[in-house]
Amino acid sequence: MLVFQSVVLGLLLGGLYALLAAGLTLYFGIMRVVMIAHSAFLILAAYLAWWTNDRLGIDPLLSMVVTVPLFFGAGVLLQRGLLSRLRPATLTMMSVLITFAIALIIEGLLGYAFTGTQRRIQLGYGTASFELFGARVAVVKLIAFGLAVVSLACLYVLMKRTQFGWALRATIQHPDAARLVGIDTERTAGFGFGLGLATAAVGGTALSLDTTIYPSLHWHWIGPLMAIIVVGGLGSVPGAAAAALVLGLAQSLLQIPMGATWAQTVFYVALFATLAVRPQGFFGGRLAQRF
Amino acid sequence: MHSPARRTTWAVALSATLLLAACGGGGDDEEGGGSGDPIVVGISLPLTGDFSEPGKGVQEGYEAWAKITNDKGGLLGRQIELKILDDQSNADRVVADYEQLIGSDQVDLVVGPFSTRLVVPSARVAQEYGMLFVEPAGAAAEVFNQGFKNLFYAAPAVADDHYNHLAEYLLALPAGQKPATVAYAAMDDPFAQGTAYGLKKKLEAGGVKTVVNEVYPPNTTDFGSIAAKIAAAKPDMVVGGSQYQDGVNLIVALQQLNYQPKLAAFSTAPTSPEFAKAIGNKTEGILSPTGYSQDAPYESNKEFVEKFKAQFGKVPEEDQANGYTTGQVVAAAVQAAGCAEQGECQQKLIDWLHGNTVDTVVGPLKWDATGKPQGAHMIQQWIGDDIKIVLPADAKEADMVYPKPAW
Amino acid sequence: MSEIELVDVQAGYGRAAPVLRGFSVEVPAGTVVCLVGPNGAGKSTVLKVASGLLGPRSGKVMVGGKDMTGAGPQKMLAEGVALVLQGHSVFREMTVEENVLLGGYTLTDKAKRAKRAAFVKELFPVVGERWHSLAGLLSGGQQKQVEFARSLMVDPKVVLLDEPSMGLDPKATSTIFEQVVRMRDAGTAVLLVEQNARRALQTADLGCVLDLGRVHISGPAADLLADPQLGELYLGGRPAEKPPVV
Repeated sequence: MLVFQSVVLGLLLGGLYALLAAGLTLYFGIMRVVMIAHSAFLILAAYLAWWTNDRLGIDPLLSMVVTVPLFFGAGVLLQRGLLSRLRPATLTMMSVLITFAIALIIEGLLGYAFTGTQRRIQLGYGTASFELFGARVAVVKLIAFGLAVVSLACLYVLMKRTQFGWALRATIQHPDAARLVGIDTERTAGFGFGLGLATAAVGGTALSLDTTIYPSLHWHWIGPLMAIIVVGGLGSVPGAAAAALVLGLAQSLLQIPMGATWAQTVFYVALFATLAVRPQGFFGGRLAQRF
Repeated sequence: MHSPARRTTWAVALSATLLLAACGGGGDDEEGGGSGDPIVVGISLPLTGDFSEPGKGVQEGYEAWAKITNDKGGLLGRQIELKILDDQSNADRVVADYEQLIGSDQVDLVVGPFSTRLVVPSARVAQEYGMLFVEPAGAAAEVFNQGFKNLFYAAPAVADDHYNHLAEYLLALPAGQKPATVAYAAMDDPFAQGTAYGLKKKLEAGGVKTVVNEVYPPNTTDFGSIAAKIAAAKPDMVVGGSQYQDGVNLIVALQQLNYQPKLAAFSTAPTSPEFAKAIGNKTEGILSPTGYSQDAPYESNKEFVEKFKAQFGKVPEEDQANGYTTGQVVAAAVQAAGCAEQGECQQKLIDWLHGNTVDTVVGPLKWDATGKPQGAHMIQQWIGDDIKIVLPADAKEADMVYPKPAW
Repeated sequence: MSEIELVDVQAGYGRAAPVLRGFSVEVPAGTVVCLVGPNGAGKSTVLKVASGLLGPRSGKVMVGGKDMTGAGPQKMLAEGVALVLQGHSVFREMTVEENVLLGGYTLTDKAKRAKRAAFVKELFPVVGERWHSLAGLLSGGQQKQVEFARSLMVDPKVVLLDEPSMGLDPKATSTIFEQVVRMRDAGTAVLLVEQNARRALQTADLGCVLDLGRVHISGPAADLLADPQLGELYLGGRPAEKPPVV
């Protein structure tokens, strides 16, 4: 019973991980950059959702009407204005430094604006739940999971069925060839970055529904997310999603025998195991070979 | 009642630096005197940095004590003057502060700073100078096993003893009613864990079985799995060794799983003013130990609450009460010994406190040789829309509801 | 009239000495022109200038009689000049279908895109056969044909091929050169750069030997192949036999 309950919780958590990892995977695919600030944007979105609810008194989900386009724009600006200007030779190193700095700036501003106090959205349906084959499923967790699933589905359709999606995938897979068929790869890369950051907006809103947020929380997310995208095969969105579900599930199940502290290490164990045994990742994705 | 293990972050460091620049020099304006007219009380407090929030609370408590005492004519006919330095939550700084206060500023009395991490080094300085050291906020075990002879913790109980009244109550229940199984979940923090484990030790000794014993890191935000483990074990009672937010999260996670214990006790969180709103008002029957209540029927408490409100425009919380209590303890000793200056007087003060009980806003306090208070915390329970004192019997506002109604 | 013509082009990289020093070449409609020459002669630079990736320092680039000097790759593509890069340049994790249709990325007319897709499927049967496979799973020769098909989607006037046989086994190389001929026969002129000079000249209509950034000699491919001196210098020894007429 406990195991089934943990499986349910693990899957719900894994869905959120999958959405967040999708964004990181996009950045890496597009530019081979490691976007340390992704989880800082995630927490920023969570704060905006909290603020929307706390100050304006409306449902936090509505904050996405503003945050998703806002983050998309910020992503485009970040890529066009900053990252695309880096010299290719130093791109990986400098992008780590720049995005690290952005993460610190966001954290500092959040601390300045909202103080370091832990915050949690207070929702009327915060403790509501229903029973599913003997396991309890919290409504807020299900909403968060639903957001993740819908966003990932949208992302999938966008990538597979739209002209932009094709152009983005082509840009990721072979930028020179993409240019030669007439794709404006720079603009596409910028939009791709915006798309990645938009996932952080959705993810942050989902996160805010059922967890406590504080400005430095993003450091606890970036590690597991990095581990997920490596295990999933750098640059592969489906791979990252699969790895996210598996690791989320593993974390949840390992808490039964190991406790909360040690269960968190599953991400790093998986990371080291992947690098040692199968550096290209376990779930497809071939970019690691070029890393 | 706050954790010494506050998160040190870039953001906090940044804002601390800004704050420091903003309040630089504050508190240094007053001129310290020797044993002249006013009694000068030297204090170092974390007004910036990690502990700035509780540090400021304690400062208000001290200020309230000085004002209320002075309005009544002072101590031994002398006015009280506070000399407060900011230690920036830094243990090296706090040592330098007390050395300055005692050595060069020649204050008459010193009282303690906030948090175990700062209390221990500053108590050592006071000990070297032979000064009495009453402190408002060092509740962890390490404070009392340093061999200090001059230290007194001005609160009813250390963390391990917070739940003593509840343990007594539960163990006295007839066999059929006594909870048989308990789940414990505690933050990996000496204070929070101490509260839960103090109760655990006593209940286990009384034959109550522990079915879940979880420790989670301070940064934990997802309590789903811990709650699942507790709910699956279906214990009669759940005990949370919590600070604020983790306590809220754990309760919400348990409620999401529809787990209905007969008794639920959590430290710190349930006494916070935002608690009810934070868990959507599903507070029914939740217990919490508290070192201070505005409603506690102790004689000086009424005066304190009233005058504090007049001075600061808000009701005092535990941090403020701790500062005030510290002042009360020192004042009692000064009055009894009839002196307040450095030198032989200090030993008289220390000796008097070792042998006597002091009435304070948190009840009567007495100490063992290590300065550990010999009391227990009051136990409050959420009944209806309000949190009320239910234990001990002589301070209660309502009868304890057990088993608790569904939340 | 020639589909593309480079006139007296000087071109190079950065501040370095020019790689092309007064180079001229012309690709008449319906022909395959092959550029051969030793390494470093500037063959790839010719294709970069012709495709718009590199602007010439002086000289002219004419496409269909129109002066396109200094135009970028997108304008050149719109004008009907498509480049197929050397090595593998398919989008590996996309299907053959997606690869080919992306070749028509700039086509706004859906019907035209479908028509071109049907056309290239017919021209390169293997492309149709593997239509739903991931391009990265195809053999090297098959991938090259997907790239050809992709470049033909916009119905270009001229296709620039950079070392199409690189890394392929002899059988696949033969297939690729056969496909080059089919492309020409279908109405697209080809400018071909090859290391495998002898094999390329056997396929080409015209040849042009490039050395030190200038045209060393040019003329009908068959004549170049038959020139014993050229054979020694650029084609790796005398031909063992008379080349087959293509």
